[in-house]
Amino acid sequence: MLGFSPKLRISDEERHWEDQGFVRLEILGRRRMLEAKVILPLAEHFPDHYDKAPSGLEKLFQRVCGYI
Amino acid sequence: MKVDRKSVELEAFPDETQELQEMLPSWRGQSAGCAGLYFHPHTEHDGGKQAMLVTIRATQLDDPLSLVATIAHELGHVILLGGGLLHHKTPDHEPMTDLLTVFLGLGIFSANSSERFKQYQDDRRQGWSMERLGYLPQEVFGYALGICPRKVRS
Repeated sequence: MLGFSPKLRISDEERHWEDQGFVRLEILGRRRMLEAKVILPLAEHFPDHYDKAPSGLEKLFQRVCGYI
Repeated sequence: MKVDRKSVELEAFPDETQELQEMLPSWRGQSAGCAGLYFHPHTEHDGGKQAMLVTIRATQLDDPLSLVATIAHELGHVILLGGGLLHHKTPDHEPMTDLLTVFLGLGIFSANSSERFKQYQDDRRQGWSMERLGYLPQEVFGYALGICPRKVRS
């Protein structure tokens, strides 16, 4: 459209590294990849109260442990 | 739970640079240091094994988005290095750990924290900061987030 064509903003070398990187990460097992859920910065995914205190850090850490 | 919380110890370490920055009226610097660290367990003399240790820079606690990205990255080390899936001498193990966060669904945090512009102003000071977090540029995170669903389907 209008003479513009989409241009990838990363180099061929970076693209190749990422493509190979995903293949290398299959050592975790395809099941883990298929079961991974996209986590967003929403209250739905982080319902705990966060107040910068050590207890807040601990709750956040536990939650990320459960997601990753 | 996918990473066993009991297998990892968590600590926050003080950010002395930040404390100095808050005391001085003007500051210019380029390096903010590391946001988090992972310590691999050592086998003790009695044959028992220490837990893995993740430490987080205390100032990260002010920014929940970057904090989640930092925790995700350090837990990536727990999975890859702690799980014996990657060796710490692998040249690209840090970028691979960033890619793992995309692979396991937390890439939005890593991508959005990779470059953060902030402005601040109070009674005494005003200024701006540009922070970078992680080992992959934002464009590379963008590509990874774009192709990840396709990789899953294929």
